[in-house]
Amino acid sequence: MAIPVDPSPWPPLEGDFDDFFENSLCGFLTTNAKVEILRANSCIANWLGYSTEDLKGIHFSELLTIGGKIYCETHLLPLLRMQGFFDEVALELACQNGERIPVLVNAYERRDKDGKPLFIRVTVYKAADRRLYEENLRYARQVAEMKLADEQATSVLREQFIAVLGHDLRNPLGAITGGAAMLLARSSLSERDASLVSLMKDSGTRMAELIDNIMDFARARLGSGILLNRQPVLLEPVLCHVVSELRTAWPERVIETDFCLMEPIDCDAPRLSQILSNLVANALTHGSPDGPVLVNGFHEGDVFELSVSNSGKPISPKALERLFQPFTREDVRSSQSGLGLGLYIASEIARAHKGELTAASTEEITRFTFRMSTSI
Amino acid sequence: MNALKRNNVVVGGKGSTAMMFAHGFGCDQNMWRFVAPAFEESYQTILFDHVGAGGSDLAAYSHEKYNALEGYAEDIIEIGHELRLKDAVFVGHSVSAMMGVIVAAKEPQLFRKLVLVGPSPSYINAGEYIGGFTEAQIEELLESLDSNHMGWSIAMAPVIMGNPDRKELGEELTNSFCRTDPEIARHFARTTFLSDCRDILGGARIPALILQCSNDVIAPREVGEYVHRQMPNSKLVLMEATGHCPNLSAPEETIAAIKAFL
Repeated sequence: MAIPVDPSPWPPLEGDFDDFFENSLCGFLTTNAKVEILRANSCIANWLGYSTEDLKGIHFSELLTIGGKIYCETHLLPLLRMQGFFDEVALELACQNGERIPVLVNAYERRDKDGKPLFIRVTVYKAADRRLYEENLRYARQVAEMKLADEQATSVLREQFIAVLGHDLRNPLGAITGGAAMLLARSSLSERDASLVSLMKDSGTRMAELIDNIMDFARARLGSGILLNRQPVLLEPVLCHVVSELRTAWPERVIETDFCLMEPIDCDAPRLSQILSNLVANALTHGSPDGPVLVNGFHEGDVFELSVSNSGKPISPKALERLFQPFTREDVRSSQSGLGLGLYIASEIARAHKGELTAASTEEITRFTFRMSTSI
Repeated sequence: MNALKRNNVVVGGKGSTAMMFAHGFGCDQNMWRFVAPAFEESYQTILFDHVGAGGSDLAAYSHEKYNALEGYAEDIIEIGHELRLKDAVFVGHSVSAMMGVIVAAKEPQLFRKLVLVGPSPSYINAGEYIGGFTEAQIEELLESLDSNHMGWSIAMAPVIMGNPDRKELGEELTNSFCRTDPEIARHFARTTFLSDCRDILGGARIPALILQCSNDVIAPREVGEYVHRQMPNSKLVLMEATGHCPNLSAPEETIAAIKAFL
């Protein structure tokens, strides 16, 4: 803030200063120490709809709307007294015809050698356009905030709905699969009926898996994410069991394993089994039917890594980007690939273990890797 | 968080009696810079910032607590307790004058005298009562604070808001006195200008000095006279000083009036 004190180096031009003062594009005011107007230029008088004579003796705050008047008394005048100036304050002039003109105001106080105020100079700029812009910004922010709140409420509701739906579907489905199992145990069924009932039971089991996925999704989305039940486990037998189940389901395919897991690992073993089962099933579904699926697991230092690789058509870079997002399905055969939650849930399980699930794909090999730290 | 840090309490002066100075809406303890030094010789002076203003801890701001003047009064009592104050003098400007009245009724042993500078128990005209503003005017004030940045956003740059401990960051900014977070300023305005303390004025029985300025648009003369009528043990002094802040515009007159009362 520069208060002009030095005499002007320019020679005075007759009439020039008065013209500049009176017909400037901004309003100039001088007030006494009591903030009563001593002199006003015609610019601000015109804005207000008064003559410059009318303004004489009026308190500066009388030119303002009620908000500005109170703000002036409680904040601006104290500020002026304390620091000697204020800058860029947004106020509104209350004009004689009831109109309001948004303005920016600067002011400084001239003081005597004891620091007592002598007079105050005020400069007033029109800021209608700027005010309009601010109003627009404010409006845009309000709309955005409302939309966001609305979206958030809808999204919470949707996910709660999914969770409740998943939960409520489980019981009737349990009755169907349980009933089918009991029917199968009877010897009285014809071969054709038995195969139909068996199909029903398998469909029921498949549906239960889909519901489990939906519930996991809802859990991951709502609240704190997937909750783990961690304890130290020797993982090799657990992982081998997952692989042998899949071998039974896909008897014509080769799944090779290579594990080096001597130490127990602190983890949620059923959840890690879920990751592995999901990755191997994906590899069997999407990988080349002739090539083997390779499962590697090792624990070295404080890193545990589990990877599943297959050969076949690579995943496009675009698809790789979206791979771990929920409801991601392969475009081509969407009818067969379920809800598209498997990889999302697997990556959420990885995240819950403070680890990560990544994917890399080339012409030769597509590999999914889960990696976590085993140090606490 | 202790109250002394929360409210940026600054203790100075010497003397067995303490004098606490409370600033009003729109400012901070700098409001007393021309007045408080005059009492340092014979009193212990206590200056502070209300939460949200000046160097107070903005994180301590609670919408719920500061929705009523009682929340601010609680802070004053807490400061009093931490400093083990008893029979002190309370000097409150503007809205803080009413906080002093609330405290005097709640904790009578804390203060023995009240100095109320430009007090107003209610700003809105209601029936016979003249508060100085119509309801519509106060609504307009609150609306203009809601919709217009005025000067608050300049007074409180984000860089300071994120670094309450690093006051030097604010020194280079303009308008560095009376900084207030704009959101808090809006809420404080609401709490201040919608308050109605008319019923409790009689509850403060200790001697009170009312300093009434001439031409005060915030607290006109009728308001000062009303406060004087409602407070049985009060003395009204009409000052020559104009405006709402005689502590800044007429410090000598303010000091003399307070000294005469004490």
